[in-house]
Amino acid sequence: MRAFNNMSIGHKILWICIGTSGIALLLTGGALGINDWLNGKRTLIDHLTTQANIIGINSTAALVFNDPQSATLTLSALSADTDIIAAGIYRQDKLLFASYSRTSSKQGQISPKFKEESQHFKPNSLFVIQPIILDGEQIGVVYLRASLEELYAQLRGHSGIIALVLFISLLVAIVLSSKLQRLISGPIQRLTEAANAVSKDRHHALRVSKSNNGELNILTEAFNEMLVQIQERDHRLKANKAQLEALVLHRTKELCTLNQKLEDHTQQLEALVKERTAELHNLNQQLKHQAYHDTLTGLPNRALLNDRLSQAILHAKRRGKKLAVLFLDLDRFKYINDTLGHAVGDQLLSLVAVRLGQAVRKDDTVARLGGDEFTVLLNTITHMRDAREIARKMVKSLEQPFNCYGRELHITTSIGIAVFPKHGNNTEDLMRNADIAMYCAKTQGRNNYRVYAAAMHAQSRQRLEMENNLRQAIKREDFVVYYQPQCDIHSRKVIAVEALVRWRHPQLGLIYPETFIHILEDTGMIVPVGALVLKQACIQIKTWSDAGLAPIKISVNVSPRQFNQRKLVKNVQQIIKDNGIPSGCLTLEITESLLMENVEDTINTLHELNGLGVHLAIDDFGTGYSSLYYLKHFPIDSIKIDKSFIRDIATDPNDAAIVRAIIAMAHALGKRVIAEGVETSHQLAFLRQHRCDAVQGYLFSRPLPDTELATKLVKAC
Amino acid sequence: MKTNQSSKMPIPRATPLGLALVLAIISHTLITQNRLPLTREHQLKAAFLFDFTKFIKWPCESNCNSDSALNFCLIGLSPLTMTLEQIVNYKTVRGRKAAIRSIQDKSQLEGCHVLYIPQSKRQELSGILDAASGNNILTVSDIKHFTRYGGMIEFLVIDNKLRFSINLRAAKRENLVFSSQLLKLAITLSE
Repeated sequence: MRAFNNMSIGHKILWICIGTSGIALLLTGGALGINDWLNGKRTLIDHLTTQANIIGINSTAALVFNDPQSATLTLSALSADTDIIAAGIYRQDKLLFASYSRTSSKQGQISPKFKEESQHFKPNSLFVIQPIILDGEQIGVVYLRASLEELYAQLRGHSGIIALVLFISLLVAIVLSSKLQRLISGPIQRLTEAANAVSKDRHHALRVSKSNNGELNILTEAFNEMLVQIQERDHRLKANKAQLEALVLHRTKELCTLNQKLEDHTQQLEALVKERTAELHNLNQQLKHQAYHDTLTGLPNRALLNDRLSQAILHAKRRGKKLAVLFLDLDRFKYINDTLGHAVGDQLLSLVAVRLGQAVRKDDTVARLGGDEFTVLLNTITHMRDAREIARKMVKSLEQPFNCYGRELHITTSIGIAVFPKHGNNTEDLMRNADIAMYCAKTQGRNNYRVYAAAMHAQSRQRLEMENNLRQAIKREDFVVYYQPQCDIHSRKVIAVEALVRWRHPQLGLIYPETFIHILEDTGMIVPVGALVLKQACIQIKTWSDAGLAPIKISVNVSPRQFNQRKLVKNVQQIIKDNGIPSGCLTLEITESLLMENVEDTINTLHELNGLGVHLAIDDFGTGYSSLYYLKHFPIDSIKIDKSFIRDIATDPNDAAIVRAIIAMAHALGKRVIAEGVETSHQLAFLRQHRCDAVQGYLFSRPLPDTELATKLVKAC
Repeated sequence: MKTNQSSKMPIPRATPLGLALVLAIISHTLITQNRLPLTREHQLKAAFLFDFTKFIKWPCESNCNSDSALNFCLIGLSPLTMTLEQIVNYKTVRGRKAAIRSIQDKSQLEGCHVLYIPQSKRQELSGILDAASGNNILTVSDIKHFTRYGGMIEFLVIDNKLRFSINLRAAKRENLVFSSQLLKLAITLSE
């Protein structure tokens, strides 16, 4: 195949022509031969079939009447047919009945027993088998065999003729092909040479002479035309190239200017980035400071304190030194915040921070943990007394009045002290123990300091437990209200009752308020409990009224925390409205000390409450420092003398004098007087003698649950 | 000729019932008659008698009712009757059913197509042939010189083989057409 591909077109044409005609002739010859053979064979078979039929028909009687001689005679007629070399008639039982042979050779032999043969051919002979039928019934078969010799001889003759024709055709094809080759490849050769010349020398002006061949002439013209076009294009390309070069030069210049501009921009941007980075750095510093400092006071916050404390502990451990943690809490700060507003509170905290900073050494740390809690870390103290000394200084310093927005504010502080290593050797323990000590200072009268002692821990734990229990109790509303009657001193009739809260502890049973009320006050839980009692009292008024009892007043204690709530008035109004009770049935009892703490605001609140129709009473009168001036202006209905005065009136002339004075003063101001804690008839006699208006105490009745009281209400005291 | 051929040739397509019947009859014959050669001859004769009809055409055959049977009549006591019955049983000739009739005398020839006259009727032969004439009846017999007396086909035994002579003139007289093949096999042919 490769050899053929490498040939010149001329030779290729020659070979294709010869190949094509050769193959065509061979195919034709083959087809003729096969046709010849098939025809000859078919003719022979037809001939034999006819002969066999004739023989069959002519030998029926001989077969039927069992006359083989007659059959043999019939067969012998075949001697006229040179094709047939042997014949036989078989009976239905396949035995030979009559036979005929042209030769004595093997080909001429007839089998004595009939064999069913499907193949019509043997190498040199061909046979047919034809049944002999009489009246629709086969009675035997005729077997005829012919020699193929003659057919073969005829085929050989035909093959010779075909071969001769083939040979002559090939010769003619060769002659015609070589002529054709010269006719086509000549002009192509000229074109090839011209193309080579053009591509080698770039001699586009060259042209090829025309030939006398039609298609090739067109090809030559097209070639020449192509050369003309190439020449033109060559010219145009040169012109374009010059243009493009000029353009490139121009664009390069532009690019240079742009590049310059870009560099300038980059420099500007870099400067900007530097500036922004610096800003970012500053911001970062600020944030870091904020993260570790209290925004209000600028003091370190809890995080920074913890860090410094742990550092200081490590330091102290290495050197075998001591250090102290002071835990401060401003005693009345919440009150100031609630009543005077946050702005004042914040100002106060800042001032406190400044004073604390002044009270400590330079390497000590004052931190604000949030709210009104401050912590002071004293690095390296030699003695416990150093810490005490500084604590004392702080208490003194904060005792001095503060000036906030033109107000003079008095506050006190409670300080707890924990010392390393005695009260703990890690941050958590020291902080916790300082906190516990602070709590102790607070419970022991405030405005002082305490050094941590192990016993405090247990107390604090108890208190904490109590706090938790109380929180649970509030959630479950484990509080009940008892009522203690107040009786008219003359008629001894119940004229009012005081609502007193009891804690129904699931394990300990009923608990009196003395044990838990101060915790409620400290933690602010007094507010929900107070509200609960108030609500319960109002519901009770309604219940009794609905039960048909005579209208009765109920007194409810209001704690300072509750009172300072801005929404107190609103709450009271709402509760009265919700229960649909006459407001005159409700008396709110407020302690004397509360009234005097923030007189201006208190008077406003009292007036608003009075405006609702609610009665007001001063509780524990005599324990505080009442200004008679204010007392006159308060919209108060009654005054309750503290039981501490009543207890000894019969024996202590001072107390008797005070009670007498109070009664006289109250009456002078137009207020009713109620004595609390009346337990003996002597006390009662004294009070009656000095015209006290009403009495309350165990002499008449202890506080009772609502059901028991109901029965009492119908009777006299 | 072999003995088994005569029984085998005529019944290649026997039904099972027919085969059973044949076997019963053969066994009966074997027990009652021990003259075997004679039995063989009877069988061959019966077969020939039936096969003749295949080579002979009756004058009315083209327009006769082909449904009507081809009647083989055997007159008097004939030893062939039983054998012929076995051969003919359910067979047809060119589509016509073949039937066998045993008749006592020449008065019963009505409807016969083939008449076999046994040796026993030798005395009444001329009377029978007279009665048969004009009825297109093929007459066959093994009576010696039967063809000379005016019969059509006469059985002969030559070289231990069953052969026959034909009186073509008698046949033509009755308008029966004999096949040339049949004529070719005749021992003597009187025209």
